[in-house]
Order: sequence, then C-alpha cells, then structure tokens
Amino acid sequence: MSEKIRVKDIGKNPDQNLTTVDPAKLIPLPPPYDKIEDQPEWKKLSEGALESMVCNLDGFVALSLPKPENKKEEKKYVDQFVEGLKKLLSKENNWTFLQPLMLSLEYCVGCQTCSDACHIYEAGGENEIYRPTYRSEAFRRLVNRYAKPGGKFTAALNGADVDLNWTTITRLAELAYRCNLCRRCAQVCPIGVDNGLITHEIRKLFSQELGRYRPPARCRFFHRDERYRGKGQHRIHR
Amino acid sequence: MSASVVILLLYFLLAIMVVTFTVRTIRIAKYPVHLRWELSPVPHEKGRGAYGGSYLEEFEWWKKPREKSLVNELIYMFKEIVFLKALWEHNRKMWYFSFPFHFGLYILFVMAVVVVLGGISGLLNLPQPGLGLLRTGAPLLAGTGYILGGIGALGLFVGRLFSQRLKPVTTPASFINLALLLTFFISGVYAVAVVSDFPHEMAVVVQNLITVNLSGEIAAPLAIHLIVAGVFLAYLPFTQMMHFVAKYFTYHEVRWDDEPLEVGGKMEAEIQELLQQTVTWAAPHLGADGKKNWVDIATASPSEEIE
Repeated sequence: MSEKIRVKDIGKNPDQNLTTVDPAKLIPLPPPYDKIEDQPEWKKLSEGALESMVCNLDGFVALSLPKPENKKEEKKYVDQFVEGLKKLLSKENNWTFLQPLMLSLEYCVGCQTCSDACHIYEAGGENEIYRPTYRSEAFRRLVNRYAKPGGKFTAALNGADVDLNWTTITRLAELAYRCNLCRRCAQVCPIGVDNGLITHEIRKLFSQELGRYRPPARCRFFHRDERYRGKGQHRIHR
Repeated sequence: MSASVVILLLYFLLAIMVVTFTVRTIRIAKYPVHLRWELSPVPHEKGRGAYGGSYLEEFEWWKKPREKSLVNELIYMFKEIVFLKALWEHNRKMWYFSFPFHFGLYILFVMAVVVVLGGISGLLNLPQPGLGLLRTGAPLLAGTGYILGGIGALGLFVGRLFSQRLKPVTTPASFINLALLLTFFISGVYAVAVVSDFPHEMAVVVQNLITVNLSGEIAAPLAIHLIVAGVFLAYLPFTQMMHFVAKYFTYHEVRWDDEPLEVGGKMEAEIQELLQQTVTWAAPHLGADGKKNWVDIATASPSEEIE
C-alpha cells in the first residue's frame, strides 16, 4: 500500500496491512542496539494466529480480535460498535468524560501541532497512521456519520469516506494501542483538544461494549480466565 | 442596491447566528461535570504554574487555603488569545498565516464595535469625540484587518490544498470555511477601496438596522460585503470555527479546572445524582444488567462477577 495513507484507507483492503514498520525508519537506538543488523529479529505471528485473528494494521497485534465467520457475524460486531459509539456520547453511560470528549471531537481544526509532540509518531518513522490525529479523525468521521442526529446528511461536509466495517473497527482498536496516553498532544494543542482522551475513549468503547481490552502489562502474567480464552482477554484473579 | 433587501436579509442571517450560537454554547456549558485528568501546567497555580506543579504537592493541602494567581492566568490568556502563543511555540509554520488571519479578525471586530457605537451615538445625538479621526482611521483600520485576514486565509487555504501534512485531516468543510472567509476579506477590501466615506455608510446601515429603516440605497460593493458577512456569521456557529467559544471551555472547564470536590458541596451533589444513573454498557465484565447504577457497578466485587 502507498505510504501516503489517507484516513479512508482504514476501512479498505482487509487482507493487507495498512502499513508496515521498517526498522530503518525508526529513531536510532543507542549502542549496543544502534546497528539494525545486530538487533534481534522481531517475533512473527504464527500461521495459526494469523488465520484466527485480525492482523492488518502494521503487522503487530495488541488485541486478539476475531475474524468474522460470515457477513452476518460482521454485521453483529459492527452493530455492537455503533451501539458503543452512542453510549460513549451519552450522559448516562459516559458522564465522566463527556464534555472533554465532545469538545475534542467537535473542535479539532486539524493543524497537526500534536504530531510533532507525539513520540510514537516521531520515533515511529513519522508514519501517517501513528499521528495522534489519524485515529481521532477516523473515529470522528464515524461518530459524525453514525452516532449524531442528521449525521448522514452532513457527512459529505465532514468527510463521509470512512467505511463502517470490521476492518475499520479492528484497525481503530489496534491503533488505540499505538499510544501510551502521555498526552503531550493535549499539552501542545492550541485549541485544547485532547487526542489522548479520544484514544482513551476508543479503548473504553471496545472494553465496555465489545468486551475487548488489553490489561496493563503487569496483569498479563496472571492466570487467564477460561471464559475469555481465545478472545484475547485476561482476567485478574484475586 | 435597495437597502430593504440588504437589511431584511441581515435580520434573517443575524437571527440564525444568534439562535445557533446561543444553542451551541449552552449545549457545551450544560454537559455534566466530568472527572479531572490532570494536565500541566495550570497557570493559576501560584508559584507552581511555571514548572507544572499543583496544590496537590502541599502536605495536607485540604487543610490550607488555596493560593491562586489570577494575574498569571490573565497573562497566559492574553498571550494565547492575541499572539497565539501555543502555535508560535509548537507549530511555527502555521503561525505565520494563522496569526495574521486571527489578528485581522480582531481588528475587524474592534472596527465593528466602533462603527456600532458610532451609529448608536449618532442616533441618540450624543457628542461623538474623535469622529473626524474615526472617519480617516476606520478605512485604514478596516483595510488593514481585511488585508491581514485575507493573507492569512489564503495561506491557510493553500496549505490545506497542498500540504501532505494537513491534507489527511482536511475535510470539504475546512475548504468551505476558508473560502467563505476569503470572500469576506476580499469583498471587504473592495468595499473599503471603492465606497466613499466608508465609516459613514457603515454607520448608516447600523442605524437602519436599529431603527428598522428599510428606505434608501446601499452602495453595491458595501451591500455585497454585508451580505457575505451575514452569510458567514450565520454559517459560523454550525462549524468548528466556533472553536473560539470551545476554547474557553477546553481551557477553563477542562485543562485548568482543578477545583477539588468539597464534601457537602455543589459538585458532590451533582456527582451523587449522576452516579444514580443506570449503566447499559454490554461487556460481561461490567455486569451492567440494565438495572444497576454507577454505584452498584463500582462497588461490586470483581470476583463475584466471575462466578
């Protein structure tokens, strides 16, 4: 796929990675890791894993999301996502961050000031999809079209080009884990938009509506809950 | 051009602006209280704002009076509003166009206030000190505002058209916004250049608007400019250009709102009410069955949910 990745590409070509990570383009590491050829090779996903779960963002997987068996199953997942979008924008289910979320979704002017402050984007080879605005913009376009009254009528103005399908949704979920919520982006934003918060809210949607989440690293060593085995979910047993 | 057409059209467009502007502002203001997710610096933190500190550093801070600096906050706001400090520091390339664009708009706002006040004082037969100065100064002020704004808007438009950095997040609405603004600035420059006694003509329009006087004629270049300005003002509250209002909330109610919860206070009462709402998130680990509220879910033992 071309390096000039557009926001709408997030929903296209489900069988290809949206991008690839080239170690030569990453920020150089200090010795003894300064020579790429001396670095240990990245672990690749097994054939079995690739067959059972979605891996089409950048070749890495943070959430093991399933591949739908058929169109009906894909529709079920998509409907769950849309339902989650609406809950995210509701006072009943998300009063805790509703005002900052709505301000961040509605008033970003797309100046890209946040990109230069993002260490993931800077160190990650300035890959378009790692910009703080990439996931936010894809999410914003989905919210504008599918979760707001009259969204379908104003969609042409707001960018109606992001397809609502399992490819978009799973890539968005993965992208929410290409950010460590440091919020340097929010700190430098002239408007006060918080792309870190948008990422946080995308994770919340997946966790609280679709039951898909990635526990903090320290919890991953705990026993895996049998009920969630194979769904990429872990449970902390106390 | 007949004044009646222009005046009636302006009433209609200004009514749309006032209603949508008010509705949208109230909607932002009425969102429920939210949790604080700390982000530094908070300039009103007296003695600590400069290094990103907060009152939370203080031992048993709740027993001590809060020390705030309104002056620090006002200085920060002045630099940000007038000079776009954040953009200057973090996105210099865009500042070169964004600053003249915004500064041009500020000049025009000042000019509009002066013209409206001049119109009102003329109606009330009040003495108008400095009228002569205004007559010569207003076209200069307006011309500067239109030219600065136009240069900025053109630069931002071209940037969005060609910059690989800006293109991905640019929507058709962004181009429409800038094109409309560009039309406004160009029509303004033209009106200032060709309409003789521009400030007087503007004051007459203001007086006609106030007194609902539909008689007379308005010079065509000025009439066109006023209609473009009206269309822009009516369109503005529907767009992200309302960010000048949103920015008040993103700074004062989100970034800088570090008021702690006071037991028995207004915030606690509001939160207690919000916690009574029923949660309907569907993921099984939450255990939201459509009956449980926030308190029920937050206080449930995770081990109980598993069983």
